Amino acid sequence: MKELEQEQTVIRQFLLGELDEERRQQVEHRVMTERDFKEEVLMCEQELLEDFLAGTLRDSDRKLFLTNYLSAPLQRRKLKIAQALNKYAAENPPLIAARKRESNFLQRLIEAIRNRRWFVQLSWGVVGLVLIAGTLLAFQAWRWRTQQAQLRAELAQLNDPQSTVFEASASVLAARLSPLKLRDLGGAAPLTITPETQTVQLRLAVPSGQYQSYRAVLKDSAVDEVFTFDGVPMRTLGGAKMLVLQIPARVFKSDDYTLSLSGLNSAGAFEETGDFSFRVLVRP
Amino acid sequence: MTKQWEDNFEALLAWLDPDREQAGVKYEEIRHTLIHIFSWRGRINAEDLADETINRVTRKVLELAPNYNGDPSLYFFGVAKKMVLEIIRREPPAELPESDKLQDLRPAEPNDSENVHECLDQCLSKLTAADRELILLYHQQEKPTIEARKQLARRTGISANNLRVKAHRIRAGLHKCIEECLKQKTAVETD
Repeated sequence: MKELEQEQTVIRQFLLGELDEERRQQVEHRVMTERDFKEEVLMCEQELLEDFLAGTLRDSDRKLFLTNYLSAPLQRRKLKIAQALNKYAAENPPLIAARKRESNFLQRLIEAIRNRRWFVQLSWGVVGLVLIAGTLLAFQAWRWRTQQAQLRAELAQLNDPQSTVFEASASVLAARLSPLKLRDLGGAAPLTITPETQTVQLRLAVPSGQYQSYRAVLKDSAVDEVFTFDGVPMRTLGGAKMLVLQIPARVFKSDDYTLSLSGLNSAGAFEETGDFSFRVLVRP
Repeated sequence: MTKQWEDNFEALLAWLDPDREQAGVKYEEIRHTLIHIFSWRGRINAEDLADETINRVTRKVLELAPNYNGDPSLYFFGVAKKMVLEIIRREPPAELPESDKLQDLRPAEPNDSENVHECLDQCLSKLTAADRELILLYHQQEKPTIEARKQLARRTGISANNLRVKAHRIRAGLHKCIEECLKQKTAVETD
C-alpha cells in the first residue's frame, strides 16, 4: 500500500508540473508502455480535479494546478466535464429519484385497485408476464449454477495437489505472473489463447508469511467475478516453489483480468497477499 | 492521400500487430497516449503534435520495422521526445493568466456549459442503469473522502480499489461519448 501511495504522490507531482525533466520522462515512458500505469495516472488526474473542485487542495498545489495543469485545453475540458458531472449528480441523486418513483408507483397502484375493471384486466396480464419472466430467470439461474458447478469441479480436478502439473505445449498455455506493483518497465505481453489451447496455467510466486492455504479470485475488466477457488496448490517447478493455478481455457475471453490472491492465516481468516493483472487475447 | 502514404500506413499497422483489428486498437491507444503526454506538458495543440509524431514514424516505418526489436510504442515515445525538444527551442508552453483559466469554470458562454450538460445527459442515458447509479453515487459527495468512498464500496459489495477502477472506466467511456457529442454540436453550430 505504501508503494502505491508513493507512486500516487509522484503522479500528482507529474500532473502539477513539479518533476524535473528526467523524472518527468520516466513517468511518460511508463505511461507510454504500461497500460495499468497509464490508467493509474488517469485515475489520479481525476482525483486531482475532484480535490480542486472540492477546494481541498493545498494553496501551493492549487497555484500549480492553475498555472501548470490548466494551461492546456484538454485539461480545461476535463475540469469542465468533472464540474458538470458533480452538478448533475447533486441535482439527480439516484436514491432520492428512486424514492420519488416508488411513491408515484404506489399512488398509481392504489388508483388501479380502485378502478376494478381495469385492474382485473391488467392483473391477468401482469401474472402472465411474471410467470414467463420467472420461468426464464429460473432457467438462467439454473444454467448459471450448473455451469459454475461444472467449472468448480474442473478447477478442483486440475488443481488437486495429487494431479499432474502440465508442461507448456500447444494445448497448455503457461505464464508466470508478477504482482501488480512490481512490474518491470515495458509492460507484459498478453496471454494468447488459440483454438488448440485447453488449459491456462498461471504460476505465481509464493507470498511471504505463514499461510495454510490460498484462495484465488479471478475478475474481468468489468470487475465481475469469474470464479473463486480455494486451495491453490503449491508446487515445485525447476527447483523453485510456486503456486500453480490451472484453469480451463474456455473460461477466458479477450479482456483484462485481475487475479486476487489471499492466504488463510492461523486465525482462520483470509488476508490479501497480492493482485496479479494480465491481458488475454483469444484468437479465433 | 498518396499511394506511398497508404503503403506506409499499412506497414505501420502491420508493425503494430499482424491482426489488423488489434493493430487499429494499438494505433488508437498510442495516439490517445501521445495526446495526453503533450497535453500534460501544457501544449495547446496536443492533437496536432500527436498526429505529427505518428506521421514522422509512418514516413520511416518501411526502413524501420524490419530491424526494430521491442515495443513499437517506445519508438513513438522517442520521436515525441525529440518533438518536445524542438518545440521548447522554438517556443515555451503557453501560460494563460490565472483569471483566464478560471473563466472556464464560470458559465461565461451559456451555450458551452449548456452543450456539456446536454451531452452529459445524453451520454449518461446510454449507460446501463447500474453503471449510471454507481457513477452518480460516486460523484454525489460534496467533498469526496476516502471514508465516503469506502462506505460506497461496502454498499455496492466490491472492494474500494475495484470501485475506484470501475468508476474510472465508466467515466472514461463518458468522456469519450461527451467529446464526440461536443464535436457534433460544434459542427452543427458552425454549419
